[in-house]
Amino acid sequence: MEPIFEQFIRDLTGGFQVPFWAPMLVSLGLVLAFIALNAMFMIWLERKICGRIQRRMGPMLTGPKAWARFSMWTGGWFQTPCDSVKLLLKEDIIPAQVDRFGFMLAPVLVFMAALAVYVPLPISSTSHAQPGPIVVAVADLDIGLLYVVAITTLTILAILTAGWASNNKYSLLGGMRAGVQILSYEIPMLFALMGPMVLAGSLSLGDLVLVQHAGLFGVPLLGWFLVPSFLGAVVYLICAVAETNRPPFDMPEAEQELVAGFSTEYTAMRFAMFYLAEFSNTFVVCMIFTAVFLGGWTLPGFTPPSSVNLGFFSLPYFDLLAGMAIFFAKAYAVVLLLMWIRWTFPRLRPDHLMTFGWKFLLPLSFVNLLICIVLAAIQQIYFGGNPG
Amino acid sequence: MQNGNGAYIALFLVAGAIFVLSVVTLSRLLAPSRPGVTKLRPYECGEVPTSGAWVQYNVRYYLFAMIFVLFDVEAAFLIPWAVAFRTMIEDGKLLLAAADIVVFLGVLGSALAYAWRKEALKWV
Repeated sequence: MEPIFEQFIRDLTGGFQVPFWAPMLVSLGLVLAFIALNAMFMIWLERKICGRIQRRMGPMLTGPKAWARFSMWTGGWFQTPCDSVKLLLKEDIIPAQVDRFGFMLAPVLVFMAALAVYVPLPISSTSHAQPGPIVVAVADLDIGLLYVVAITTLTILAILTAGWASNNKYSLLGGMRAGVQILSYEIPMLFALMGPMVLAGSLSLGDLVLVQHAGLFGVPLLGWFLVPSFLGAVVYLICAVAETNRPPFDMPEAEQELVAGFSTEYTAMRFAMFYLAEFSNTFVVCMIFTAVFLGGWTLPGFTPPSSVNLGFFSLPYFDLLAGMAIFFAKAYAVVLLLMWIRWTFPRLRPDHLMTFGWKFLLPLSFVNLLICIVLAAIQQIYFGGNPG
Repeated sequence: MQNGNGAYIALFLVAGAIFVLSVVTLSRLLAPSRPGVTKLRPYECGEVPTSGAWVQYNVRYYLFAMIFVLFDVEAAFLIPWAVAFRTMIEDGKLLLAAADIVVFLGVLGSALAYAWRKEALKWV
């Protein structure tokens, strides 16, 4: 986002050259604010949706009464902000027998991973006052997809640390289960993502989206990798649910049998960090799914103009805003799908979980990779190279 | 990769740590703190724990971790190939690229079949 930010400030102030650290701090602040606000909204939405699925209303009483009377979807807006304040004011208990260093390290690790994974995620692009379409991301890394997979693995370390350091039998069980579950679903996930890598010939998430927008076999509608790599998309989505420990893959936390698993001994803000990271990671996998399989900020055959003239006022960066709107609409559609899955399916048994991952998803992702290889070869030989 | 992208990653990692530490410190300043013997005991649904939790643990987990390492390393070798595939076709090396992937997926597939056959993938 460096070139766009610099251009924007130059336009605004008439030639002011920003120091190099300004875009870094601005993007950091934006991402932190986004994580906090988005997690609050997602928790509210999750409670509303689970309420609807279970024929309840979800939170209704916290917030303006008039809105709650208007409809169930406008009630209880203040529930999660109030919960956050409550967590901030709760006693921070560190039990006597824990390994203190590991106990304090785990929430730090889990949030570091949750924050750093935002770096290569592209949310839009713009051609306004730029030589070509420039991808809007914190920094569109060349190895974006690999980086994302690598950095989310840090979560395993954090959960194992939390489970072991707590010196609690429930936590140990939860931590070990989480470790083996995330490890097992990492492999099919990686192979499922390899299909799009072959099709696009790039690991940069920005390039992946641009290749999808260009279309497959000259047909824009086939461009979204959801179509050529359909099995991969399904495998990725299932693995993403498992990686974020969401039900039906929530053995590590299993409230009814493991008393919240690895986070049993955590209270107050340390617990809140695990919770925040979990919701943030859920949204991140939805963003990755959007960028890799759903064409990111683009729609087939649609290129928004870089600025719109409203008659009395010319709106610059229109393509950036339109792209962001499209991207977040898609990402939230995936979020709704994950929530629907969560509240519909019962929890899996550990042995079924392992069998499902290793003996079903992994062979399926191999098949997907082979299909993608054939399609990529046909595209390359008969329809030429990538625009990216 | 543009110059300075590594700085973004470093900044985000450091900022994540600082964020957690400052939030926890803030909560320590605001929240009450009245520790007691019962409160600081490990939670076991009200029972007094008989021993610690740092015990020898089911070897099954480590077996899966080992299989994971095997597949993950293979995947790490496959990613450069996946990225280079279309460029290799462009250079007229379709057969070489195809042979590469057949060998790689063959090795991976037989490793999976071996682990499957030896019942290493069976959870007990």
